[in-house]
Amino acid sequence: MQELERILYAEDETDIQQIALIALEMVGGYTLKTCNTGLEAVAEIENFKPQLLLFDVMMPDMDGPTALAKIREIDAYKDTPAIFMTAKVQPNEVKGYLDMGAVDVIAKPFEPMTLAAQVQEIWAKVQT
Amino acid sequence: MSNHNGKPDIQAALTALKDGFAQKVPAKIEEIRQSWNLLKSVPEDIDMFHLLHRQTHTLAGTAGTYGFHTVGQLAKAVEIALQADLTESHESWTPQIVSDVELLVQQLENFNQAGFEQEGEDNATFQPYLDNAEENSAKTDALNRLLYLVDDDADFLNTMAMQIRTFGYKVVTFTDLDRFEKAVALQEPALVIMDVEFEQGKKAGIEHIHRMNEERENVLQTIFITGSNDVLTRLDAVRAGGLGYFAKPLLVEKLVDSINDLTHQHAEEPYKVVIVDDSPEQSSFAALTLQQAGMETREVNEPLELLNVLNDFPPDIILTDIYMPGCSGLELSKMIRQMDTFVSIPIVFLSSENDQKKQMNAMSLGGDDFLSKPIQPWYLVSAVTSRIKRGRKVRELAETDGLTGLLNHTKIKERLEEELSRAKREKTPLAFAMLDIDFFKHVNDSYGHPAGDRVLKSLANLFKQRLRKYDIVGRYGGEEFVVIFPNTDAIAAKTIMDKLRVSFSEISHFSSENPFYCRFSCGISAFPGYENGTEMSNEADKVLYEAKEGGRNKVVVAVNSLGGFSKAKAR
Repeated sequence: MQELERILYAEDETDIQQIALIALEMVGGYTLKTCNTGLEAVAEIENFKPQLLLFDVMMPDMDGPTALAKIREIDAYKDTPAIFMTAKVQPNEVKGYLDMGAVDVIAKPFEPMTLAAQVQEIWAKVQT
Repeated sequence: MSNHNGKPDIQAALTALKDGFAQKVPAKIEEIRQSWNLLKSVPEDIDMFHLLHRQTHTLAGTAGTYGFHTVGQLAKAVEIALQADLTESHESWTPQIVSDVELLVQQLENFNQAGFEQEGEDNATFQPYLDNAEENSAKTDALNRLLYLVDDDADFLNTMAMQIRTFGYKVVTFTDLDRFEKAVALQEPALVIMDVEFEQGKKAGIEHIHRMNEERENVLQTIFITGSNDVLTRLDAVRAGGLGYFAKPLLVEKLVDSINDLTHQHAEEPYKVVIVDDSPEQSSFAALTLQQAGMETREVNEPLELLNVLNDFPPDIILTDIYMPGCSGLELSKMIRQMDTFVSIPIVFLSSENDQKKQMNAMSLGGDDFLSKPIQPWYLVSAVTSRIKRGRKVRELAETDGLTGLLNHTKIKERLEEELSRAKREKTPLAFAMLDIDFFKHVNDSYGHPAGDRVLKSLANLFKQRLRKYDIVGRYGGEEFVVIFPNTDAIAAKTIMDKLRVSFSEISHFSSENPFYCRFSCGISAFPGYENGTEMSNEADKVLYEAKEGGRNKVVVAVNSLGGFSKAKAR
């Protein structure tokens, strides 16, 4: 199984960004590139070459789903696993995100100590 | 699995973040209130609608993540209530929506004023690791207590500094912003208390901190104090990274509460888990998973060894497999439940048993819950965390006094007996102090009960700050407090209590009119000389009465407590 190292993370809310950084970099040991909007994420992708995309859904400029659609147009990233982070986790809403090409959804609010484990699990699931 | 180095750093980072966020919550709620007021008066303002929607949505997501679950849920409820209107035209609100949203916003505000600090404390996931290394603690303590106080009013500075020092902090004062900045470059304080207004400008204090923070890698922990209390200044303070904001005249007790919270990382003990499984692979998997979340674990692969382990390592919870050779998990839980000491430890069965009937049977034998294998690591962590949190909360409620957070009467008596038997066993001295605030009824009568409560809290704060970690403080009831000093003789205890007595008498308490001062009287008894805790506390009570009779504001030691051991260690 390929080790997960590089995550492209898009989130507009600084408070969430900071705590997610601790949860994923310090607890999880991953390398993160943090973007404030979907637009930034699209701009950063070639540079950062992430193995996994972790996107907030609601963001100014460009929301998570739109950013994902843009990224899917790039050949090298058409299969890169993507996870949405959102407070909307009703079954039909989750289905909607999966239809948009996400592999899974992580609910907000999340538990900082276990976020890395959650991501790791989704990663492991996708690898098999 | 993810790696996990540098645990204390994670803890420190999370605590700092959480503290920072806690301080921002009031401003966020205030913003929501303002948007809602504007939207109520101009319902068709679609931009305002979107703003409020975003504010509540964001708070719903962030507050929960930081552990402020009630705030998060209320914000979420506002968001949902607003969405009820999204499909309709925005020309007017239905009365139902207005009253729904109004009520929720009010609840948020109430929570803001009263409850969210407590909720923050409840958030134990941030607390599990703590660098308890004793050798570091003295140095860290001193640095944790270094405060810089900056204000151009020299008189105010001196009074304030003196009062804060009585709580055990080292306070360095500055009237000049540049000198303050140079001092920070030399030695960083644990916290800055900064006036807002200087001759350079009405918000010079905020601007100065803001500029310094922009040039720094880490933000200076800052509390702002100000003569004005307007929202915009508050907002500026928040934006400059301010963690607290106090309007003059300052309530010293409240300021010190806040200083305590910001400088003193609450030393919650790591969660302790015992894992019983005959398969070392299985138990070490669970142990590793829980350790990664900062818990302490002990693995037991020989079920019958469990009872020995429990004595050395009293856990917050026991996880046990069901099918094990020699003794099953069910028999084990039955045995544990028959022992008084362990009757309240939660027992959770970890097993691949999916038969509900068998699960029920397990519970009836004293198990508290059932987790099915294979279990996802994150689920194990959260299931264990939530049970421990609840268990500790229940214990805390049962053992502490709500106002001061000190141990209550029942618990302190229990602790006295424990410490006394230890002192007997180890042949070490043990001192017991009982104290009572002088003329406290007069405080309540003249200044009101809220002022009286603040006096009680300030005494509790003072003691928490100034006593050693292993001294045990309790509120006996009313205005009566007790302290147990392990390994300390009567004379040493008297020296300490006299210092505290003087410090306490220097704290000025505020009523609606004038500052006032309080004192206490104290009686001390010490082991050897007594057979049990009741004798010791009766004796302390007796000499406390003598102290009162003898003019109050003094510490009296029981005569037959002065003997001590020949080799008694004074501190």
